[in-house]
Amino acid sequence: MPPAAYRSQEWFARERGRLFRRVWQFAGLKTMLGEHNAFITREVCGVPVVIQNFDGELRAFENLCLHRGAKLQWERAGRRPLLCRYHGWGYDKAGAPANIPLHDELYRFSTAERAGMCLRSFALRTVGNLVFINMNAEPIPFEQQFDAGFIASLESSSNAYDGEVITTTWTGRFNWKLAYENLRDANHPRFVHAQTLARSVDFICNVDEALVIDADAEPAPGAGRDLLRRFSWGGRDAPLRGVAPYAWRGMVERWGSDDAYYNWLAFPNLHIASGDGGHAFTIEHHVPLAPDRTAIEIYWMTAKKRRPYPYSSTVLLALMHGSKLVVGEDVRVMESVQAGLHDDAPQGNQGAFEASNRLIERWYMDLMENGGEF
Amino acid sequence: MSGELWLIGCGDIFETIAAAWPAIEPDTVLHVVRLESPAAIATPFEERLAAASPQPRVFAALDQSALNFARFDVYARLRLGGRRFCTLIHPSAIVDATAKLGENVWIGAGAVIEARSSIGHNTFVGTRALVLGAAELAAHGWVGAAASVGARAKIGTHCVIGADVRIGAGVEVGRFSSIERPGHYAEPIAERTYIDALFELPVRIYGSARKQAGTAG
Repeated sequence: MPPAAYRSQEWFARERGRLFRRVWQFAGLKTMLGEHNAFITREVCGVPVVIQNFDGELRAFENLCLHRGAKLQWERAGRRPLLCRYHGWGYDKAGAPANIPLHDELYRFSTAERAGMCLRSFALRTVGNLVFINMNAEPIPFEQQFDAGFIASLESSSNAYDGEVITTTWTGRFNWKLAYENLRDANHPRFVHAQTLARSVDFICNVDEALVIDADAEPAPGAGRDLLRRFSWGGRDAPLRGVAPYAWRGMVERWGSDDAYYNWLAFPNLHIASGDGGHAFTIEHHVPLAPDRTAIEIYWMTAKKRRPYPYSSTVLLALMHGSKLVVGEDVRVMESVQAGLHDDAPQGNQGAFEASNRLIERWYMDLMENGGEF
Repeated sequence: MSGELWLIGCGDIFETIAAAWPAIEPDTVLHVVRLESPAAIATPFEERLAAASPQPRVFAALDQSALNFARFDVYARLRLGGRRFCTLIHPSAIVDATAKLGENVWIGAGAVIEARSSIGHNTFVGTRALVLGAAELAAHGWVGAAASVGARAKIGTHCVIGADVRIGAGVEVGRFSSIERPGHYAEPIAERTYIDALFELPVRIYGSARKQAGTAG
């Protein structure tokens, strides 16, 4: 792709409108929204979003009070009614200000004015324990973005997640696209993760001949809509050289029985993995902040516990430290690529093995330059 | 105190205590059971104390890795086995007479424990650390070198207050938290929060460790 795709503010704004405001994006974990009034907050495409549980129903709203624009929920996650801290306006599951304290004395909105007040809402879809939202008023069908097999695999695996979740966010100085390109490149671990991940996983690198043909072929009119589904896949990825017999692994309901590295890549910016054969799972969400800055939101959870064990916090903390090590290796490489970019930088030369990335690139460039096919 | 004491454990704190002997208790004979690493607790170690006299005092000294769980494991197993634990105070530490110290507590060199403060079982206070008036440190904790816990502050179980961390007066730190980025903390810190130099934002754990969250949506 041209350097501008990774560096230009104008490109970034166009990409946000043409891609991110139209696709389904990961928004959080249902396990963090399990009780009435539980909520999580996010910033999606620059818009503050709150996802809130109303008596078991999940709703996604713009996280701004209709009165003075204050954020309704302030914390990253928690449990409280959807209620503004500024003047106490409270909202119902339809997004209407059901309670305006001192309304008759101080505000005196007409019935028609009040009827017109409603938080901006967003389409929401859950798959197993994963929550996705779509920022578009007329969202594309979820099944247009992800095929049925992929959705089923996400659902099955994420239903295995335990409810105790560790999470944090750090910022990388790179464009988000470098992350999806890197994740679809199984040849990098042996070099980038030689002392970490590659010591326990034999990542398989094969040239997909059919994909090479597709990537090189002139696209047929209308084929773009179907292409989108091919950018996401998941399941068993590579064999493990054994799974360490840590005691906690015996205390969780393992997903599956393969000693395998599982990977789920959901285009555009979600990566889920289980590096220990279904005993624990990590979610990495690469959230674009600016052309050269990406928030890396990391979650870890084990598979469901058979019974509580007292040191589960430390297991999650250790897993998070492992992420910092491995993902940190990726971040250093991606930051190096980003730092080298300039207006006249040469475009990369991707070979047969990278047919998947080339196919995405072709679709993406059509989207960015011609409006694309959704 | 006279008699014998069996010191079991490994790591920096273990070596610090062993090296400071006999200044800590000049009349007590020290027996040392040095574990190869914290991982060694996965195998039975109790038999290595078999030669101890019928009612020996013991002290478990392991560093703070994994939120003090390795030290907790040694302490709990020996405690359940009927061993008697003691509290060790470096001779250069200053401990107010009204402070309450639990068992298997270590107070390091130059530390100051002020009046009406309390330190729970199996909590270690490092070199030159300060625990100010009426502060409460729960069990299985760690206060690093030169750290301070402000007056009336409350630190939950299994917490790590890292070296050079200053917890403000009256601040509450929830259990299972680790604050390892040096600095002053004046706001409450929720349980299961991890702040260290590795991560630019605090790491948080959500959801119950004890039961599954419901599924909604």
